[in-house]
Amino acid sequence: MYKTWRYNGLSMLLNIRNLWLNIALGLFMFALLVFSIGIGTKYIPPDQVLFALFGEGKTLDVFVVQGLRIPRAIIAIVSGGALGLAGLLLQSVTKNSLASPSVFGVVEGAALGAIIFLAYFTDNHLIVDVPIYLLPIATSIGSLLALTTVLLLARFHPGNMLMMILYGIAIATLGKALTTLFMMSNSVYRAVEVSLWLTGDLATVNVDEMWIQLTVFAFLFCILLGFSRILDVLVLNDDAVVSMGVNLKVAQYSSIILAALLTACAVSFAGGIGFVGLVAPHLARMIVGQSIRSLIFATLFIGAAIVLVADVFARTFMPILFNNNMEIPTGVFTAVIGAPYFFYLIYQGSKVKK
Amino acid sequence: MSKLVFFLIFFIILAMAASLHFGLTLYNPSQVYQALFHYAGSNADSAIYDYRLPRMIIAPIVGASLAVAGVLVQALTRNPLASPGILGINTGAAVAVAVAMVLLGISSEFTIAAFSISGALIACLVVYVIGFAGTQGQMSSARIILVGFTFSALLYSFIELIMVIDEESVSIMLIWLSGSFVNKSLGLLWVALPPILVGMSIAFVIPRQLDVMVIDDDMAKSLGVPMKSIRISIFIAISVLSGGAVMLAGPVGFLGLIVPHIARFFVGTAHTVLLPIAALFGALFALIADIACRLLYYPTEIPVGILIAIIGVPFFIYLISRNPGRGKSDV
Repeated sequence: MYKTWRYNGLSMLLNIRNLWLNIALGLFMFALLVFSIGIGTKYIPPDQVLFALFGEGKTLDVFVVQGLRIPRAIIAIVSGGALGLAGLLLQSVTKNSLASPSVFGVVEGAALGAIIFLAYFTDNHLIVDVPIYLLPIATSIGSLLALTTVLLLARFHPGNMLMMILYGIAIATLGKALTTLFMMSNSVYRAVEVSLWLTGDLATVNVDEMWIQLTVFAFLFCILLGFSRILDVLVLNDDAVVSMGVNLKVAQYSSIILAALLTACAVSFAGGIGFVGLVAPHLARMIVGQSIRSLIFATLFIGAAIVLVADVFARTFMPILFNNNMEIPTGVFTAVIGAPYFFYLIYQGSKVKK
Repeated sequence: MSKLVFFLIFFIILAMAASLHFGLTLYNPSQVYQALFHYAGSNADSAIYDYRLPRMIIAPIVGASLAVAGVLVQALTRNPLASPGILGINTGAAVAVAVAMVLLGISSEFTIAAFSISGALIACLVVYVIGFAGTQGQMSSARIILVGFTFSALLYSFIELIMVIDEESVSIMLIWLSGSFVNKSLGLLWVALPPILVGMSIAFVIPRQLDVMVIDDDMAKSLGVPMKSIRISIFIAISVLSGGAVMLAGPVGFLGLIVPHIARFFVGTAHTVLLPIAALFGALFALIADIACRLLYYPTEIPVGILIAIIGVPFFIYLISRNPGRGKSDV
């Protein structure tokens, strides 16, 4: 099952089964991407989509695909992947399968950062007058602040990771209240947009945002890959981790911070899409098992696929059922699937205990 | 005890009077007197009579009913961390009201009240079933918080969906959802007050059964408490109280969490005393919060629900931290 891969001085142990599974997942995600780009008010068949990707085919198709649908699909993929990976990190660190970015206050913190940023740098004509690439910085500060508060509170209960989740929810509630406060104290127009965005909304993305998000994500993903060796160990119990020569505190804090940054990277552009960070790592674990390097890729692909599918539903649900041009926030679909799954996890947890 | 009741009523009356005087403009007692008893239609008269008087009446009613609902929820779950807001019962009522008003276009206050109460009841039952599934009669704090948070998130996404479907409703809905006593007509009271009174009377009839119930099921059964019917009446009481309150003021969270603790601090855990004292504290708390939210951010007013949430979260964190044993790994 395992094979050693050597190249000059480098060598790496490969799990062949997981490698194939991950390649399959990747191909599946790519197929979904092509189909989702084709689906919309104007249907474009998959082969035409592939042509249009490279600038071939009808001019209208090329415009629709490259200008409108690609940015949206890529942002859906990156956000889903980032949220999934953030969930994977948090679940590994807390050793609790219920952990996810939204129960750590990270999503709400990022949203609060974004609201304050937008509120202060938007003029009367509702145009943001500072470069949009500063938005991820604002959301990162917000999510890191929320996370720092949670970590500081959790210091009173060393070793009890569940308390960290409970504090996270409290901080999330506070973040929500403060976000509403900021929304109300500014203009109502913006409140409408912002409130949609908070549930996770991909309707307003553009090409610039896509490139910014891709860059940030690629950077964070490289760090995560470099970090994977330590993550593999972190799921063991604390004594075992220490005895393997890993600095436990540093490893825990840095993976939590990485999770916060990944969340901010998603929330900045796609809003607070919930439950992806919870569900994606679970599905990935069902498919590839516990090995962290396989898990990282599988989670990335599955998280991306979830948001991609949810976004296709969001775009097409109302037009097909009620024949109008309305779009539903993407987060509604992930919540409808994710919340029951969460309840199922809790139920399973209480059954195992008996 | 009687001294405490006297003081509470005294402060409630004081706060009600203050509620008429303070706000964007400060009115002196003679202006207030004139507006109430010799209404002449001047600006001051209308501000006091049409704007501040309804708030003064609605705030204590909402406060008292959410406080009593909080005591009942905490008895039902046997956990001091539970409240109608945290378990998503208020949000359930809010979803139902949003469906009625925005999607179905219902304007009859009576129908909206029916929707609000049934929304609260359904949410209460759902969260109860999920919360207790696979456990032995006591919800751990972690479970309450996790289930409630997730359930609320799900319900909020429904509200968001409704707001997308009808974009014109968004600004009104946002204000209503954050909970406030502003611009409420007293007409609402005629439909909201009867169910609230029913809920209160149910609660005040069963204080002794509640005392026994919080210990455990077997004890309660052996002392002759009909658990099933008591539970059903608690469900009904919670739903009408929180449904009525949400219909009046929107989902004001954390009031139902904080006030029972304040009341317990003063009079202990016996429900015979706890329930009325919690109701009085709730009324006072809502009145004071309502005045504070007019003055804190002067001249803009912040929604009272937001203010209470900002006060409530640190208290919530304190409650979580006090409960470490129960939080440990048992979800």
